This record gives sequence, C-alpha cells and structure tokens, in this order.
Amino acid sequence: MSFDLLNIGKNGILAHQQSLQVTGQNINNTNTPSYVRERTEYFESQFGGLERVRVERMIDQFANRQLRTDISKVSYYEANLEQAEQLDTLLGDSTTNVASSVESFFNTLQDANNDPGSVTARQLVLAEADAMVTKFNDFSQYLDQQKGIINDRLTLSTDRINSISENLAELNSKIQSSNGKNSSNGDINALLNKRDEQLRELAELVQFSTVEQKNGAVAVNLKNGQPLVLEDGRFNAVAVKSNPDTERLEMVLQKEHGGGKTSEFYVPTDEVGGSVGGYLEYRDEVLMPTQKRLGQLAIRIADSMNTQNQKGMDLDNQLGRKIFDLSKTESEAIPYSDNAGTGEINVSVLEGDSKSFPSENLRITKTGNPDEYEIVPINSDGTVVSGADTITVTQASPGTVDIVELGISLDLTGTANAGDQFLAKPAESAASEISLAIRRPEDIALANPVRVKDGMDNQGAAGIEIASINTPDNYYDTTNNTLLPGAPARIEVTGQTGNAYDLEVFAKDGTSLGTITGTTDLNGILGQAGLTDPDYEVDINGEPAVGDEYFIEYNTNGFDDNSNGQSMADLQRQQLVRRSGGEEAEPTMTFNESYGRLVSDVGSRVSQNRVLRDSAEAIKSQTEALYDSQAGVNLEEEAANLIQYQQAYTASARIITTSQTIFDTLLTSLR
Amino acid sequence: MRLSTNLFFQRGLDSLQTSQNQLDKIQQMLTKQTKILSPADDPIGNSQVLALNEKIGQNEQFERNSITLENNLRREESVLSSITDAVQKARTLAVQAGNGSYDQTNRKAIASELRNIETSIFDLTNAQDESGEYIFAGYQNRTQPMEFDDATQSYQYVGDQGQRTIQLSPTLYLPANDPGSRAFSNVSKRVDFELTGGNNFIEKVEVTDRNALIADTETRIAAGDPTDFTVNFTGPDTYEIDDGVNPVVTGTVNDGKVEYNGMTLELNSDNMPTAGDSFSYSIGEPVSRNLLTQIRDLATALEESGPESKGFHESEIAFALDDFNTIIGDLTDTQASVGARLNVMDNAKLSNADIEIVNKKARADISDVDYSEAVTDLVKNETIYSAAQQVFTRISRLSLFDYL
Repeated sequence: MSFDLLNIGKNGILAHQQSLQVTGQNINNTNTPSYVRERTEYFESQFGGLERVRVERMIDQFANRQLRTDISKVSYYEANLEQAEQLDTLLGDSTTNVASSVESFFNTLQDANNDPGSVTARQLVLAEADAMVTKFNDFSQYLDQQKGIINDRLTLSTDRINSISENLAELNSKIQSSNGKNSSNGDINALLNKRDEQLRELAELVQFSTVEQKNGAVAVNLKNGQPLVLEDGRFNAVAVKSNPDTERLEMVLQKEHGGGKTSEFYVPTDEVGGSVGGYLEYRDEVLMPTQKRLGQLAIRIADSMNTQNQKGMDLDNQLGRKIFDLSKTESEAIPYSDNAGTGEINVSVLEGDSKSFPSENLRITKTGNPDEYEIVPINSDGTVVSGADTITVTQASPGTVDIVELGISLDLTGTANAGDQFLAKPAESAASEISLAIRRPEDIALANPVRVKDGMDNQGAAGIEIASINTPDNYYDTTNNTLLPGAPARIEVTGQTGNAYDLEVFAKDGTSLGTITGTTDLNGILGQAGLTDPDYEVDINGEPAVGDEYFIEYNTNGFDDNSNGQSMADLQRQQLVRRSGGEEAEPTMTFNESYGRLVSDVGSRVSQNRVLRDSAEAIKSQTEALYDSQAGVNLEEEAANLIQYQQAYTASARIITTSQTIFDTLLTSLR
Repeated sequence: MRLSTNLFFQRGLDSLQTSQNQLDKIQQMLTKQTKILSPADDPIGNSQVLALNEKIGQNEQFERNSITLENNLRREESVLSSITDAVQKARTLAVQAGNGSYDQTNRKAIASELRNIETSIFDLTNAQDESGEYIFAGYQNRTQPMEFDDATQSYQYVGDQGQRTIQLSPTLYLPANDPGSRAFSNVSKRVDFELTGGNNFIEKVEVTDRNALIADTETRIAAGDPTDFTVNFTGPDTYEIDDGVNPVVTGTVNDGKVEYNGMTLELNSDNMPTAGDSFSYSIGEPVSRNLLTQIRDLATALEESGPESKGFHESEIAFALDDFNTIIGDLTDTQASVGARLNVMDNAKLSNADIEIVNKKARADISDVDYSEAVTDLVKNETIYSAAQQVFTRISRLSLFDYL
C-alpha cells in the first residue's frame, strides 16, 4: 500500500514538476513573438492516481490560418501605400510639380507676346522652356529609379521566399521524423512554433494556403494553386523574370520534374498577394501609368509647340524651327522571346500629327497576310485596353509607315514571321528624353511669316486679313527668307455685279494663278481661286471697288507681329491630349487637365488603398486578438498557475513523506 | 475572451499611436494651411484645385498684359494728341496766309512757322517707345516709318499695316498699336504746276477742279502721253492746246480766262495774247500726300508765292484747308478708337478682378483649413492623447507578481 502511495506521490511530483516547468517556460517566453502557450493536461490512471501529463500546445488553427491571410492582406496594402504615398506627396507638392512649370512657361510666352521685339522677354521664355524640360526629365528619371527600386525589392523578396521555403521543407522533415515520438512531452513544439513563425513571415511576402498532412508536414500552395513547399520535403523556387519587357519583372515558379528538367510558370500579378503583390500592383497600376502619362504630356506639349513655331517667323526673318528636340524619344519595340523571325521595329512620334498619341503601351503583331501588322494598345499586364480598336497597317520591310490614329511612325527592318509580337512603349521614357532644340531667343517664331496690305489707292471700303497660316509647304524661299516667285502675292478685284465680285490672284512674279467669278463670299480667297492646300489663306472684309488691289508679302522685319505667338499661347487652352487608347482618337484634355488626371488617379488610388488598408488592419487586429486569446501568455494566469502547481507539488511531496511515515511506522511496529 | 499580456500592452500602445498620428496630421494641416496635405486626402478636391490654380494663374497673366496694353495705348494717345494740336496750328496759319493783304514777306514768315511744325510732326510720327521701337510702324518696328523721298519730294510711310494684339481674357484680344497707314493716311494728291513759257501773258493760275485735273493727268501718264501743254493763240479769243502727241484741242477765251481740264488761267489784261502768241505749262506727276507732305507743299507754295507763282498759292491754301479738315478727322477717329479700346480694357479688368475673387474663394473653400475647427480638433486630440497616456501608465503598473 505504501508502495502504491509512493508511486502515486512520485507520479504526482513528476507531473507537477512538469507543470511548473511549463509555467516557467510560458513566463519566460511571454515576449517571444512566435511562442505558443503550453499547458499541461492531466490524465487519470486506470489504476488510480495520475498516469501521465501531456503538454498541449494551445493554438487555434483556424485563427492561425486566418491570421496568415490577414497578414498577407495588410502587407499587400502596406507595401503598395509605402511606395504610392511617396509618389502622391511628390505630385501634390506645389513647388516641384510639372503643372506649375508649364504654367510659368506659358506666362513668359504671354509676356513675350506683349513685346515681341524684345530679346530679353524671349530669353525668359527660353529659360522657362529649359526649366520645364528639366522638370519633365527629372521627374521621369525619378520614376525610372522607382522602377529599379521595385525590381530590387522583388528580387530580394523572391530570395527571401526561397530561403523560407527551404527552411520550411527542412522543418517539415524534422517534424515528420520526430512526430509521435516526442509529442507528449512537447519537444516538437519548438519546431512547430518555428514553422509557424516562418509561415507568418512568408505570409507577409505572398499569399498562400496550407494543407496539413497526416504525417505532420504542411504543404504550402500559392494562391493560384501552384505548390511552393511539397509534403515530401521538396520545395519549388521562385524567381523574377521578364517577358518581354526587360524592365517589368514578374514572379515565376520553377518546378522540378524528374530527370533534372524544370518548367516555369508565371504567377499572375493579381494572384500574388502579400508585399510582393503590393509592389507589383503599385508598379503596374500606379507607377508605370503615371510615367507613361507624363511621357504622353511631354510629347504633346513639345510637338504642338514645335508645329506652331514652324508656322511662324523668328527674329532673324527665318521660318521658325522646332523648339523641342524629340529625336531621342524614338524607342525600339521589344520582340517577345518566342519570336521566330528577325524583324525589328523602331517606334517614333509622328511629329506634326501626334494628336492621337496614347499613353498606353502597344502590342504589334505580324499577321499571316504579307506585310501586314496589327497594333493595339495594351495594359501593363498585357491585356488589351478595354474599348481599344485594333489598327491594321500594311508596309513592306524595310520601310516606314505613319499611323495617324496613334500618332506614331513605325520603322521596319528585318523579316518578321507570322505570329511574331513586339511590345512598343513609345510614351514610357519620352519625358526623360525630350530636350530643348534651340538656344537663341531669336529662334522663337512669334510673328506670322507673311503680312497683308491694302492697296494705298484703293477706292473701296474693304480690308484684307489673314484667315489662317498653315504648315509651310511650298510657298517659301527659305534660303533668301522670302516668298517664292510662284507664291500668291496680289489679289485684284476685276469686276463687280451687284454684290458679286470677280477677283484674280497673281503670283509674286506676276503670273496669274487663278480667277474667281461672281462670288458673294469674300472669305478664303486663295481656296476659291483654285489653289489647293495654300500655305496661307486670306479674307477680304467689307465692300471693295473694282480696281482695288490687295497684297501679300513676306513679313520681313515685322518683329512687332505677335500673331503666331498668340496662337502658341492659346495652345494652353486647347484640347490637345488624348484621354485613353481605349477611347476616341480625338484629344479631349488640355495640358493641365491631363496632368490633373495623372495626379488625381494616383491620389484616388492611394485614398482607396488607405481605406482598404485600415479595414484590413482592423480585421487583422481582431483575428490577432482571437488567436492570442488561445495562444498568448497571460502573466496573471501564469502567476496563479505557479501558486497552484506549487501547492500541488507540496501536496504530492507530502504524500511521499506520508508514505515514508507509514513505512517507518510499519517497520517500527514489526520490531 | 481571454486576454494575453502581449495583447494588453499592444492595445495600449495602439491607442497611443493612433492619437499621435492624429495630432501629427492636425499639426501639418495647421502649418501648411491646407486641408489637402497630399492629393490622396481629397482626390476630387485636389483636381479641382489644380484646375482653379490654372485659371487664377491665367487671370494674373491677363492683368499683367493689361498693364502693358494701357501703357502702349496711353503713349499713343498722347502722341496723337500732340500731332492733332500741331495740325490745328497749321490750319490756323493756313487761314492767316489766305489774308489778301499779306505780301510775300508775310507769307514767307508763315511758311517758316509751317516748316517748324513740319519738323515737329515728323518727329512725332517717328515716335519710339522705351526700347527704341517705333510705335507707328506696324510690324516693322525697327524701321523708321516716315521717310522723306527725294525723288517725289514727299513723305512716304514705309511701314506696314500690322497691328499687334494683346490678350485680356480667353476670348478678348485688343490691338495695342495703330499703324501709320491708318493714322496718317494719304488724303489727297498733289497738283504740281509749272509755267514754262509765256509767263507775261498770264495774270493768275487757279485750279478749279482738282479731281478732274488729277484724273486726266494720271490717265495721260498711264498711257505714256506727255503732260506738257502749249497753248497757241490762233486769234485774240481762240487758242489751240497742243501736247505734242495728240490732236490739238481748240477752245475759246471765256471772260479773259483759259479753262482746260480743271485749270483756269486768267490772262494778263495788260498783255493779252494775240494770234501767234503762246504760253506753255506742265503738270507734274500727282503724288499721294499725307499730312506731312501737305504741310510741306503748303510751306513751299507760300515761300514761292511771288509774282512768278501767279497766285497759285491761293489754290494750294484752299487744298490745304480742305485736307487739314480730313486729316484732323482721321486723327480724331484714331484717338477715339484708342479711347474705346481703353474703355473695353477697363471693363475687362473689372470682370477679371471679379472672376479672380470667385475662383480664389472656390479654391479656399476646397482646400483651406478652417482654423477654429482645426484648433478645436487639436485640443480634443491632445486631451485624448493625454488620457491614453495616463491610462496606460496606471494599468501597466498592475501585476500579480507584485503580490507574490
């Protein structure tokens, strides 16, 4: 009997000892992040007394899994916002933003218009143009750097994912081999905690789901089902690769098959989740579109100003030239890696006709028909922009084809096979590559290239006015800065019947260029006389008399003329930027509206993501609380337990003492 | 629900951090004086602010433009006013010169005054602005607009008809200058008469129909016919006018005068021509005249108004008075147009000022901080923060281990 008592006491002491150990361990590990509270469970023996004590790991698996999902979500938005808020603040800063630079440029242009002959005023315009170009360059280069930073982060993240996967596989095999043997005394709990810690760290990076195996291992699958860590201890690596855009990295899963063969699977960017997914979404939905829209704006400002300047005359009496240099914005369309042909395509801005230039990337596909190509605007992830039209062009290679519906020009070389595809990014680096083409203030063409004059001896009450100036084509002698002999220079009223007039148009050298008979409309005289696409057009206002003459001459020394300058200043108020490659080809936004949309799109996305992040955080907090309610250590509880187990231990020790006393009594009584 | 110690502390920390973030946000709003710290705070509002900024910026530019316009127009106004005064003075002198009791010496004195006026008006028409650019030259403002042409002995406007416009609103452009072709246009043509022979037969020369004379002379010049005429008397009352090319034109003396093509030549009653006598005259090319040429010709005529001029100066004075009226009319018209433009500009300035106020208010409504609201928020959050701190301190001190 005493032997039984001794046994009981011994079991009790051992059990309570263990409980005290577990309590001590809990207290020590209060602040260990991945520690899960342990508790001893007492099992009664069939034969009376205590049989054994089992250490239980107090974890709520449901909450644990939920917590990982929530962590992925929060990391996703945090990563996205960390980058996007920087961009958002930069866009909102009134001193660094592009819109204020564009405004200053147009203001100095207006000042120059008020005194067109002043070289000082023109010098200021040039300075502001330079500042504006620099602003575009700097901002676009900053965005380039951001792209590089994101790519670096992606590479680091995939390295981290791989090392975690490796750790998980190792932990899995350790847990497997020791499972069942030591589960009762909790030796594998440390391994389980470590595995959970790694899983939680992985959850910050990507979103995944786990499948518990019977042997204690845990298989990890990415959200789209691809296996990352397998149950038998192997794992698949992830990497970043690009196709075809070398700057746009995506996550790929590299699967090993038997025999050393590997196959690669691209993980769709919207199914990655975690901080990697957050960076990817930021890059594709915020960073790249912003840079492309900036490029589109730069090109439209430069091309519109260039075209207008070339319609005017500068302070050297010469026809205007290009103010901005767009030659470096030419880019090579990247061939997809599975292209079979040798075709190469260079894409450049269709200068003078770029009003439909979109901000999106373009995919060019060689069709099965000879020399035929299809071009369509696409999003960052390769899907076609919704509502976009596919443009088909036919051009033999080598050769150049102008596509007015997209404001670009393609230069083809080599031979492309049917089905070959190319990725063109005409807008992406455009803002980094524009520069100023003129250095002299005299080169700004504020005046019209021609001026008109009423004959001094005209008897009628009419005056001639310039109706429009078109892009110079064939009326100007650019070597001598004057009109060509064949350009229209004189209009004579040859007859009149009632309010219908007969007019004749003469060239500078006196030859007759055309006649108008019996017209009541004195607008567009040159067109009415049969001249096609005249470089300038004139109207006669009023009632001329027979014999009246009107003259057109080159605007030599006409430096006080600011007509072309006024047209240039008016560009600020015209709709010159196309809204989207998926919408109509006609531009519908002014420069400021285009920049405003760029800013507000970033701003509204940040605002939206802030709300989503806040709600994800709230959910995560709740889940954390739920998880912690099981797994967290409560010092008060442990303190109480300490007392409880101490007393139990003392009581059990007393049992032993009692059994000893009984034994001693028995021994004493036998003497 | 069971609380772990970690969660306990975490919650306390969380509430402290939330309060801190709020305080930071309010501080930023107060120092930057805007509710919109970054576009994400109010994306729609921010894009409205961007659009308003553009409009306000443009408005400020239009104000600057209107200052330039006003300077230009007022300068032009003052020059035109001086020119008008000078022409009025010339007109008075012309009236004086018509006084029958004046002799050549008197008329020469008037001519010399007219010469002075001619010089001063010449300077005024070539007026320059502060950068040395000519204000009446049209577009070619580096070239002097009024020049004296030796060949025709007249002043020519060599500028063009260009007008530079200044923008005062998105749709309002006003001309900032008037070219000399408008302000000092040609008003008449010169009659250049010279008696080349037989002076002693002529008492007085008078141009009775200027237009007919000029029209005939121009037709002759266009056809290549001569403009020298010899009047041969075939009898005491009949004569033949011969230009050397065309058939002669016969005529009879009418009341002691020979009339032809708007010219009336009064014969010398002391020396009437008879058959066989002749006199000759020539008409020079009619040159278009503006106000400077007109004054110059008048002065020349008055200087040469001795007996040999045969009283031609009286015709010239009549032309001059006629033309001065037209010239003064033109100048006043131009001044009126300048004044009208200044009025339009004033109206535009007023409406621009109104628009500026409206836009600035709209922008302020969207983005400016309401100080009373912000300061109240600040105090409230300070209280919350301070309370959270106190609570945390008190609760964190409690632990069962203190009692073991």
